[in-house]
Amino acid sequence: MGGLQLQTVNIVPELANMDISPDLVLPLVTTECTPWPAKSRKETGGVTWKNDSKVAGQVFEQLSVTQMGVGGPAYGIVSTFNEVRLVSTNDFGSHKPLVIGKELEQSEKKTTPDKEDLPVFAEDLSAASSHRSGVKIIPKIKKDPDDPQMKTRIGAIVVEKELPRTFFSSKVFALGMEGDPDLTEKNKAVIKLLTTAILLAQESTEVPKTDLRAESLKTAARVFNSVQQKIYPASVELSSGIRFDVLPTKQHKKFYSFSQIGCGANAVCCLATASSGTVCVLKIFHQRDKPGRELAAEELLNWRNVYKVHKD
Amino acid sequence: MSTRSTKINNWTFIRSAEISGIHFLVLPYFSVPRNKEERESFMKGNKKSKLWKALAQMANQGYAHNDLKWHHVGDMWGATNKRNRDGGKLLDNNTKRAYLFDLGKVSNLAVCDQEKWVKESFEMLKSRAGSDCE
Repeated sequence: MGGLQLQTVNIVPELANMDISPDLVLPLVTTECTPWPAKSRKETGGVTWKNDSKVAGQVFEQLSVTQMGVGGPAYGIVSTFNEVRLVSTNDFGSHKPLVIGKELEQSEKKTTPDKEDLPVFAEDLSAASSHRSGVKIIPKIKKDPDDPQMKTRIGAIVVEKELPRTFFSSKVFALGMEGDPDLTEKNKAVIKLLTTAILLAQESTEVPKTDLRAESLKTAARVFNSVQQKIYPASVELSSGIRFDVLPTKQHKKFYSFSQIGCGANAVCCLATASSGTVCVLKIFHQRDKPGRELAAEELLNWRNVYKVHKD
Repeated sequence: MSTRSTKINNWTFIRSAEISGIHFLVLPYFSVPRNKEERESFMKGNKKSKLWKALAQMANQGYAHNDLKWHHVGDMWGATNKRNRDGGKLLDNNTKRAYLFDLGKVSNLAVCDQEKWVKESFEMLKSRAGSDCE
């Protein structure tokens, strides 16, 4: 879409963020757009965000990541300088009449972004493709009578599947502009939309969160694949659940991030596993490129110095 | 202060990585004490406690944690010599040790200040063990 640039200000909410207990968490995704259109609708041939795969991919990405942090569906508000719409991983279902009734026409606005153009980040359009790994069955381990703690004799079976690349959208609500004869009515509709978003988001948090300590776990995850140099959302099934009783190895190049467990000024920490299902933490730095690299390098050095971790 | 070796051979998976300009660290997972009772279990025994040992371990290496709070203290099982099929070290849930993490802000600590830092840090955390925040 000509002239549209996205700046993500998404904050993934975390209900179990260490021992912080917020009164209310709104699992909303905010995707800010610069004033749009930079070119007029005429110049862009009437192109709008809803049929732009970059924006649609960005919205899908943010919604899918948010859904990992909440129990229920994720909701987001997408806006341009004069338009607002509500998006969700849910089809809005029974919530439709909640506030704005018929004005939500989401069932006819199902949006499936172009798979090949689906970006992980707005500026990284090469990161999307289908990802699927087959079932990996690891042979039985010989039973050790001296090891009563060893619950399972079979290594983790991890199945990774592509998430359905679909989200739902309400109709577009235009903000009333100065001099607009419908200014009041338009803005009322927008306020109703925002209110609905908050109510839906609040209900979403009441859905029980996925038990990440379950013995068999099937949930959404963000995949950090160093081999393919891609980050993408996926549905992951761990037959033995997250293995809290085993450490990863240096050979692991692919990680599944399940839930944010901490957020600081420089980075977020996520509960993750290696591709074998063994538990670890990914500390993901906010800043990209050089600043992020320097922060990561500095902290890595501290870990090695403080705990005398071998490099090899 | 003890100067015993604190090499942790099982954490070779710790590293930094970059994907599409996004930098991240792969780090161990620690279980963080979430309430007063759990925190008190970290402090049980004072100088013999898990918390004291964790603080002393860091100080012995000549470092002080500059952002110390209960959020940055956790424990994990000790590693056994057994490995799973994937090569990962199996852990023993009878030997939990405490560690300090979030090492973005650390500073050098002179030998003469090590014991003082450990003591003051222990007391600071002890005073905040009942707090909902830290």
